[in-house]
Amino acid sequence: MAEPLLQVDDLNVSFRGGRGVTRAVRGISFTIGREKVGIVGESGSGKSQTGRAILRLTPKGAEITAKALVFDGIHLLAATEPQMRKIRGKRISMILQDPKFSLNPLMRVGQQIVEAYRVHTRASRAEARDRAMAMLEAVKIRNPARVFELLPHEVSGGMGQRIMIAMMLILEPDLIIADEPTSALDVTVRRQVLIILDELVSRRGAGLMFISHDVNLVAEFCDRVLVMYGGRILEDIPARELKHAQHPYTRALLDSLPRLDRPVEMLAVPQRDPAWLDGPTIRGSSA
Amino acid sequence: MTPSQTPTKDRILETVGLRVTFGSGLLSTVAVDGVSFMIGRGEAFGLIGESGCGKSTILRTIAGLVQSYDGSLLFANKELPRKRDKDFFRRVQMVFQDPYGSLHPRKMLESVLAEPLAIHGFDNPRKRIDAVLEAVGLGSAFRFRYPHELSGGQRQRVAIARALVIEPEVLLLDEPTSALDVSVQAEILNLLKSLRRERRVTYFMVSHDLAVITHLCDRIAVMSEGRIVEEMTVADVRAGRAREPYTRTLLEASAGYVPAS
Amino acid sequence: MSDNVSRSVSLSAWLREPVPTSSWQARAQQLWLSWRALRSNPSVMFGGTVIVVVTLLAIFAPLVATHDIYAQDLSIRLQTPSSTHWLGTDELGRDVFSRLVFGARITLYIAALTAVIAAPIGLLVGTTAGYVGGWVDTVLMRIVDVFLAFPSLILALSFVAALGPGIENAIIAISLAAWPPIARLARAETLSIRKSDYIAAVRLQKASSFRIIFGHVMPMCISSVVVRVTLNMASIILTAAGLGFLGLGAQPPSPEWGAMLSSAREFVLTNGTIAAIPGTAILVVSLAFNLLGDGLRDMLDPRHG
Repeated sequence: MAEPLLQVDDLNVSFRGGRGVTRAVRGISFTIGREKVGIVGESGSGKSQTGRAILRLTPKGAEITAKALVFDGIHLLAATEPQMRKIRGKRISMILQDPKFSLNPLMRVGQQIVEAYRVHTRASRAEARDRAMAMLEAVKIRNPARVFELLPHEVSGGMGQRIMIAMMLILEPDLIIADEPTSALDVTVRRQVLIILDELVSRRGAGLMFISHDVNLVAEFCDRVLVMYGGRILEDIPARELKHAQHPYTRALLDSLPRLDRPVEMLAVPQRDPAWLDGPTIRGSSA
Repeated sequence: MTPSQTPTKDRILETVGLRVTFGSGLLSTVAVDGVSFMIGRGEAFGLIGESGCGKSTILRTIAGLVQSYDGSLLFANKELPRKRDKDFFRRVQMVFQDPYGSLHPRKMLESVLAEPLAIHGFDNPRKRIDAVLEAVGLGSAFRFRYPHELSGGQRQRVAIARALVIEPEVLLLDEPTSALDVSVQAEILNLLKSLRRERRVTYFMVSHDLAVITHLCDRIAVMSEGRIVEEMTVADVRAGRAREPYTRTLLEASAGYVPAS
Repeated sequence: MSDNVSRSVSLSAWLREPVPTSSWQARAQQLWLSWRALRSNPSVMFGGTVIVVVTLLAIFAPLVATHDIYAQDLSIRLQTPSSTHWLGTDELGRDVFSRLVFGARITLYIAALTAVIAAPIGLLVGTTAGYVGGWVDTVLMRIVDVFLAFPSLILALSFVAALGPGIENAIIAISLAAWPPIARLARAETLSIRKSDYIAAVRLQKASSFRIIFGHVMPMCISSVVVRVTLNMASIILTAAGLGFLGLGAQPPSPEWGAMLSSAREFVLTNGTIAAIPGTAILVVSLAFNLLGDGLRDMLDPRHG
């Protein structure tokens, strides 16, 4: 197996607050290669903070420590802020949940993509514009010239998210962190966006870290699944083996969803066992 | 599409040719375009569609939050006036979609629950508040908490408690679990199901998630672009017996993620 | 849970208890958490401390002052700071330090009273206009526009000219200039609060507009209004000083800072300190209020709420 893109060893993220120290991420270790890895968990499980810690975009007051946090040979925790700025966007980029909040409401969307491109390259405005148009086509936007001139509030959720993807992938990063990219979208649009993301990620041979609370979505879309709870990884398993998941929490998550084909009187509510908070990580066979 | 054959005496809610337009002149959009359906007493009726199809608008219009509409709304077979009276609000209540926005940030939960009781003149507020908090699985100790101290699931339970504390006959549910984590959704859906059984409330639920709606409801209507495309029973949905092409697309997209088991 | 049990628990444990057992405890805990948040903000602490010190000086003025503020002694006029007269003497031989301390009373009195008059009026007008809408909104906002059209000092001047000079009239005049921006702010807040689900929920309980405005909308506007009033304090103090400077506020021999500054004007070349001192006092207090308001605004930003 090729050298992993991202190596995380014993990552810890904690916050100092009014009521003491909160440990959002408690000693997790995993690797991501050129594959799609899903991180699944409920709110408070630490999954979002993990994604942000890699890019050092955690909120003020957060303390990140790790035995190793290495991206393509670069030790991310030891990097200076200027070094991180070169990495963010160009080598590792992040797609956020709601394009309503992650796109600048005052700037035309095409212009935002152009700006993202020109920040990291020395391209001329015309070159950047052409690249931006090409990206809009790559995300299957039918009328790129028209959409280029629109403002964020004039585009629908699905289109906004595709624009976000265009903006984040235009620099061809090696690792993409997507934090709930489809949670704000309609069910039919979700599929389209995932297909596009899948294509772009596989075509460029990039790695994808897909953070979500929807275990079924992650199961279908990703190659490997990490199940997080209470700041720890409970299970690390290839997606196709999810039906043989061993950890009770993973099983409970899978069983708690209402299903069209299997009606139940009462849904199985995941019972949370406090022993999980300090238990071991179950690692399934690697791909 | 034929409305279900509910005999008149059993109908609790009915819309006839409901039409809601927003904006005026060139900028007007028709959110709801001539919608007619009826809900029987004690039934759980679901309205499903994508965002922007008008389903939330219908719910809010029935609730009385949208004052200008065409067509008629009937509650217990009597036409509703544009400005609803207190009796209507005692018998019809609503649970909102976003648990982070539906509770007043500065008010203690006790005050949130005591207010509707005070407005409608209920006696024994203390006992009723305790009872409803137990009924939604929170317990009376939560009386003294503030919304920002609660998780999304807990807030939604409080929203349900607030709607139920004045013992309404009809509960309008605006995507009650779509803003919640998938792992919390099961608890809330179970709660809604058991409360309906215990209190014999009629549910009118709006959602974009077919699996959630079929879990809770008996009958559904599919909406698209302001119109009802098809009405069907939940048995039809599970068997995949869709007549209209839009419904078929919706069924396929919802079954899209092959369950992992 | 009986009171005896809670009394036997220490105050700090009571405040930290995760599950409050009475509404008083819950409210006290929230206040304590707000206090801790305030304490961690340097702007708030610095500005707040200065204001507290000035307030204490003002309250205990008779104990702090070293001399009688009205006692004139022309033989020692215009002296520089010395061990008997800590900040020197003014043109009539009166002790500047003592006059400064008593002047703080007047300044704070004007500031506090203006806030107490202007804020509630502004809040009431703004929330009513924002919530009720329609012609009520139009009429109220046009009234606000009329007041806003005048620069505040000019407006205050014209009222004082009509009503006559004096502290009380100065307060009325300044309040009339201070309430319209607060009304505007409250209205803007109300317009966005009005769309929220928690307001829809209480409308669905058939709550009267009165109950909604006072019980639900106003509590949400209060933090912005507090910040705005605090930030406006500086300009209120300056307007009061300005009126005093022009002889339209507190009348001599009252030790109001603006009036002190005015009478020191003529003697700037002989003894610069007697003009600098009241000027610095005005500066320091205005700055303190500004810092306090800035810190409060950072803390009370709606996105954190």
